[in-house]
Amino acid sequence: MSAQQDSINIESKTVVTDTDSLKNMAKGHRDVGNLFIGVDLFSPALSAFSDRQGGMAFASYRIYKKWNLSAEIGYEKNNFDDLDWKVSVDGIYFKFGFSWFASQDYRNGSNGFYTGARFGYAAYSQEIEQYPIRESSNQVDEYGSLPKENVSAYWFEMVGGARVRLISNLYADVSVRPQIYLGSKKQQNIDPLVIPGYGKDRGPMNFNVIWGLSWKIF
Amino acid sequence: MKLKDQEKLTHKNHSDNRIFDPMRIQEFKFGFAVSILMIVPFLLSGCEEDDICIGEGTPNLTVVFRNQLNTENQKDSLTIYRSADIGFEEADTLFEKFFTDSIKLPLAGLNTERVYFKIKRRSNSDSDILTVNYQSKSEYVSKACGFRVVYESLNYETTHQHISSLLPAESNELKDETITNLYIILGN
Repeated sequence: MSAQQDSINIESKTVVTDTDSLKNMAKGHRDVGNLFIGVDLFSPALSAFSDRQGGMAFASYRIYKKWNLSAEIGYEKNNFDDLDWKVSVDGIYFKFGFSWFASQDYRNGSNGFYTGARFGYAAYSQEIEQYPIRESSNQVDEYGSLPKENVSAYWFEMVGGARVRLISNLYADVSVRPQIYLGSKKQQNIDPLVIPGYGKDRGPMNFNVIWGLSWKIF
Repeated sequence: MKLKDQEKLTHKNHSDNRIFDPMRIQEFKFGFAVSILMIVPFLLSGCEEDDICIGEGTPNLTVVFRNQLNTENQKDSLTIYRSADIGFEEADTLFEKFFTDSIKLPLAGLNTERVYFKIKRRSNSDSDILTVNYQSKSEYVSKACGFRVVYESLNYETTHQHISSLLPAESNELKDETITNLYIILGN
């Protein structure tokens, strides 16, 4: 008997919290920022430790409720120096896509966790300074090289991230991005070994991280 | 029984009371989704490394020996040397007293257009010299293998000590070593 009473009490409490938080969320949404522009700090940080040199800027615009359109543009110089290959690339890349806020802060709707997707495209110049030639079973007997050529590649990114206010209109925007290579315009039929914005070929999937710093415009 | 169930349920509700906050449920769901997103690429990267070149290399010339009447393959004990010069001053020993009816001969690679093979049967004192002429070029295979060499415009000549005649296959290209390129009809 007393147990039943208890459960009724809890149920009523639950209902109250429910409406409260809904109100808060609705209120929070009114404070959601619409346009953010920012830069990535991870790529310059990486430049200090690896052959990957470059930077990226991005913009995100809220179009409907929790949906945001995203555009990113970057420049990168990189090389692949492994398995007897020497390939260097440099060029620009673009990423377009959306982010959907899965959860937002009660008070500031610009804070929250999001998920999304991007389509990436890079137009770059590639120079194959050295490629290995195997004349017999499994040893490299000779090397060849190919001159600079303009090529391009595209890929898909899944995005999982979070945005949180630091001070005033300045936000930290961190995301992790599994990337899947889709295709490319090749030089002499050679699969790309390194692509600006995508990185080195490491099997079926790559993994990128963005440490963004963004400013809320309005 | 019914009351007991109810009690269990109530007890559970007590301890996890806060999970009814919809914000938390969403956060939990999303946190779960993000952790999956973060773990999946690592799982996938664990089984990558397609960095070892297996097969798909430069093809060898596949040669099959036939009997005098060209009715069936003929096994014999073969000794074969390869050389870039017809005098066989710098020769590689490819096979030594190898009992078989089919062999795979490596050609000389890029920047060459001719290679000689000295073929010795059993205890025969005289050996034959098979000359293979070709045009070589390199071709992309994969990241792990790099480029390989393929051969075109193949043609063959031979001496006739113990080889009766040569029967080249229809294709004069060498890109796949599982296809026989040349039949050697053995004589006496």
